[in-house]
Amino acid sequence: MQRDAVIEQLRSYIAQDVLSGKDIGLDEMTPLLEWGIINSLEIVKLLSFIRKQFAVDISTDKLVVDSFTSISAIADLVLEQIPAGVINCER
Amino acid sequence: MILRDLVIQSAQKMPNVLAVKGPDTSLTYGQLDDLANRFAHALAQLGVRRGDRVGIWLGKSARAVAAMQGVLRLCAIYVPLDPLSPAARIRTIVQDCDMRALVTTQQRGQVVLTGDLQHVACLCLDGEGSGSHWDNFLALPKTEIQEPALADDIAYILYTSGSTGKPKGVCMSNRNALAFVEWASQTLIATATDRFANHAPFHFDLSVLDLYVAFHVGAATYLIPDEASYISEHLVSFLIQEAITVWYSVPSVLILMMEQGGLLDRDLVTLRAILFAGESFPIKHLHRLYRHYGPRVRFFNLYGPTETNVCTYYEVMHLPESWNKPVPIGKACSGDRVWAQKEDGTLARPGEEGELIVVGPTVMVGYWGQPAYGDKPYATGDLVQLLDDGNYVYVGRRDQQVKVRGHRIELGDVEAALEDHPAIHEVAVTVTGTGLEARLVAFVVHANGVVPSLLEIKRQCAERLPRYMIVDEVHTISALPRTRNGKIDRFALPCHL
Repeated sequence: MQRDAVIEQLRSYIAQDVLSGKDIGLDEMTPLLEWGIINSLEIVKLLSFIRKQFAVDISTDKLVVDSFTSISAIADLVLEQIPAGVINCER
Repeated sequence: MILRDLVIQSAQKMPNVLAVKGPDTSLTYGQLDDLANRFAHALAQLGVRRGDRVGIWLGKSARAVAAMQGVLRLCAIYVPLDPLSPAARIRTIVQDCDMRALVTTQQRGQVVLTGDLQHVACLCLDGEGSGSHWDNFLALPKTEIQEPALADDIAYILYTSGSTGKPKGVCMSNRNALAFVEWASQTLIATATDRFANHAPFHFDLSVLDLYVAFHVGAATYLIPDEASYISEHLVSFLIQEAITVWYSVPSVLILMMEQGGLLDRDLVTLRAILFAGESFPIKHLHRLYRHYGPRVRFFNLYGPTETNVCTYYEVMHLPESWNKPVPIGKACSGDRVWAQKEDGTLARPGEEGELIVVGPTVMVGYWGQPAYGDKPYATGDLVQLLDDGNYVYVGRRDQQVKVRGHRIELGDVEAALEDHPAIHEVAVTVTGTGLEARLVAFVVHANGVVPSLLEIKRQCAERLPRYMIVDEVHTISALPRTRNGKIDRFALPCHL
């Protein structure tokens, strides 16, 4: 459940802020880099969204290409940083 | 001397000095030299011979640097590929230059080298089993391997976008690269105590300075991975932590570090030179930076398309507060000659404008797969004005080329890639904003009531174009605005926003 909530918040952020909110068919496995959805500038904005939304800082050694291949991979990155059960999923 | 000798000579003189520090590992000159030999042996075993093209598709890392040096030792040609590019784009480049081998990860290799590319050898650094695992790789001999090479042999190919989305490989010879590297080393008065930051990706020509000027003088280069390249706080703390002395990037990144990274709240005492290129530095921001760091830190504006590398430069020696235009791109360098040619073919005189033409040792060998360029003067397509003091000032483009964060973009190429989409009837692309805020905006007239989503449009671009040419925004309009002679009226497009 917790993982689902993180994925949904990341999905809705990318759909609205990166893809202008008009998009259908974006899911946790959509290849974000392959399809040109995320670039290095978007990564910066995404990190600041994650910091605000989940109160976690992604350490710079985690900033590798593989961490941003899909929403699912980003969710893993976020979940690694928070102890189980602590996440606040309010919008 | 040829390009690979820079590392070899520094390794002989100072084997225990740090050469490159990446996110993966740090290498001394001795270690880099050994690793380069191992790469050369591994690639030779895969059948790579003199003149073969070898792609390097890895995240920015010290190992990727060693791989490039390994390729040069076989007198083969390395082709750095964008680590964030999709497989479809990489495939077109592998095909275009008929690559013999690709250095990458196992997973990436499996995705790209399928179908008609199965014959391309893959050197994977992370695979399981015999031959490809990193430990097995380290077991390879480090004995010296140096195939005979000439100054005019091609050392590397940098891919830029070409017309109608076909990639265009700019071939640079040892002579081309060294003319620039030697000039830059002298002008910067670079020494073994320098610490270079490498911000630009390896497939972008700015990185040639960071790597090879450092190798030339036995200095260290500190790599910034692409994923972290716009994280301002990280960049500024990186500068402090690694005690960087020479910084080179597009102006946008320096502005970002001032605005959000606290670059002006600190005093980076080790920093001694700031170089920028790729686009005009908005003068308002340059003033802020110069007020804080100049003239203790030297400031350089470098200019040159990929095809000529850096062919002019301007050192900002003083910047009066009243100066309100962009700083000049300056005068010829790297042994080149430049002039401005007017519409009628004559030479521009002081005060006049013309197209900047370049001839000299840094002008490329040619585009891969096309006849050699020879000693012909290269017409840059850039309009410049000649000042009374002999400096040139950038004025604009002759064509529809635009720059976004230092990358050049032919709007027509983006349009051609989008016109391929079945749901798009007509399209015009323009740039809104400048610097960090620059966005590529597409105006689409759809074919039959089906409006393609931004997701689809991005995907369409990603498969056909370099990453920096992917559209950021899409607007649907009923018809494209036209000028009286029927051309698309780009200036009228923003009215539809």
